[in-house]
Amino acid sequence: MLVVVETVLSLEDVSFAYGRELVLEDVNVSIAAGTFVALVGPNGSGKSTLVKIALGLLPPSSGVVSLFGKPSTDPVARSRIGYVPQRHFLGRDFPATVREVVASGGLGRQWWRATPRDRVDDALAVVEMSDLASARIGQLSGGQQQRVFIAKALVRRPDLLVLDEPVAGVDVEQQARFSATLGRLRDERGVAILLVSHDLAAVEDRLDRVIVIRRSIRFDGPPEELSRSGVNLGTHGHDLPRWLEEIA
Amino acid sequence: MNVLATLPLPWPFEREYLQLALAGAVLVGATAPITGTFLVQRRLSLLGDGIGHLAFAGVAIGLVTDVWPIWTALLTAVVGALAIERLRARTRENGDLALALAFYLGLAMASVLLSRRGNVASNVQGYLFGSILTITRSDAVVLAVACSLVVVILAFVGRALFSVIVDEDAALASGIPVARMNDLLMVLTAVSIVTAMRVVGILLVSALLVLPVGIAQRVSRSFRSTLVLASAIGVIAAVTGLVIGRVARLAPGGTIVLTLGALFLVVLAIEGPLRRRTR
Repeated sequence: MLVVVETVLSLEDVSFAYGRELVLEDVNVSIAAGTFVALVGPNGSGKSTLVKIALGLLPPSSGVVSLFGKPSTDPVARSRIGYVPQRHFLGRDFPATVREVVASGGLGRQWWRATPRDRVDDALAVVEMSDLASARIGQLSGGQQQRVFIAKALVRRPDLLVLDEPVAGVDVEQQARFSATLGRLRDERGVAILLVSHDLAAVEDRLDRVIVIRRSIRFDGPPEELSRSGVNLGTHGHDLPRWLEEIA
Repeated sequence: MNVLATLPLPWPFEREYLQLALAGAVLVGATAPITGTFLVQRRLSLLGDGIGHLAFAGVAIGLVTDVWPIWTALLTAVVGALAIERLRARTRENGDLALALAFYLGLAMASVLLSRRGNVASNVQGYLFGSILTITRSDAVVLAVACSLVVVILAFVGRALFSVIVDEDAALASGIPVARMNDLLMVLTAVSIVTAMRVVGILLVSALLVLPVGIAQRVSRSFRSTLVLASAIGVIAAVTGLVIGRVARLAPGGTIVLTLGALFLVVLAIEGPLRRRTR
């Protein structure tokens, strides 16, 4: 029987420039439903710009971007995405409970409608934060806040989860829980995951593909292929540019 | 509109002008901190001051053109607030520059306009430091309508505004009209400023938006309870300040803000035990 796998995200010949500075050049990326893809590259390589274009937050200078077979600006297609942006943590004085923060992620085009309580409960259960639902968000550790923000993205029950640098400043134990959560989402719910990160050590075993970018796509394939060439997908503040040079 | 004026309230609100002042204090004390809660969490605590200075320019326009200064202040504050938001959005890293411009341009415009109008010192003083004891019945009606509008609109858009506060990029990606929400918050802030201006004056107006929130968020756990508590603190401080002002023959606007300042210091002192109890 022929199984047709839906393409959740597709970028065809996408280029983008800030003024005269070319940030992305002829980028071609396609992500299928239920796959776990990591996007890596050095600082300023265009990772976050690519994510913003994929989410319809930035228009490409040229090329075509599709979400679920529709233009990336299509509100219905966008409603199928969960997005965890690169961000600073909410401060200690921020007066909101975990439940309120997660519920705020359920608003979309019909923003005046409250997020159903069972959706919030479900999202909190996925990230194993149900017992802290009534806690004040500012009292949580960085790793716990990170899981709350993933729950906030999950409350929309997305088919594509996009995470931009989510493990920065998170301890090893929380990174392992984070990895397990993403694995469950892919395996049990068929969620496609696009993870932008400098450090892939925690998720290395679960990845289906790694995409390396530096203005254009330098590598796109399974992580084993990179590992075989001697690349360490773990913390690599300094060695990332070196192995990128080798790939390029 | 005689209902309020004929209420048989005891001392210190036995007279009509004091009952009207009480109505103004309760309305503004309850509403301003609700708008302020959103501003403080967006790290725009000083925005009220910036818009207040622009409203002062509007007051000057009203005094010079013989139009009711509340209307000209409202118009100037709304237009100025939207201009600040545009400038802030364009130069995000220099958001304070937009506020600085509002401070200086507002005062400069008021100064220039009032210099053409001869002796207006007594009129201007009421707007600068508040004139809650001169609230008329028609003022009270305007305050009631404006405050009700602010509360009803915030009740409708509050969830979306909260989502924008928590994470603007994620809110934008999910389809919430972030720019329109930011504009709306600016307009509601302008309305809150102009209504609060009558109670505590332009120079102290931001305190009524910000200080109750600063107190409430130290002891509240949720955003919802912060909104409710800040509003209650606003009412308590406004009424207490009014009473103390009458008893001790002090300016009510300044007394209200000093009451809030005293409350803030008390909560700061007992913050630890209170937080442990509410956890």
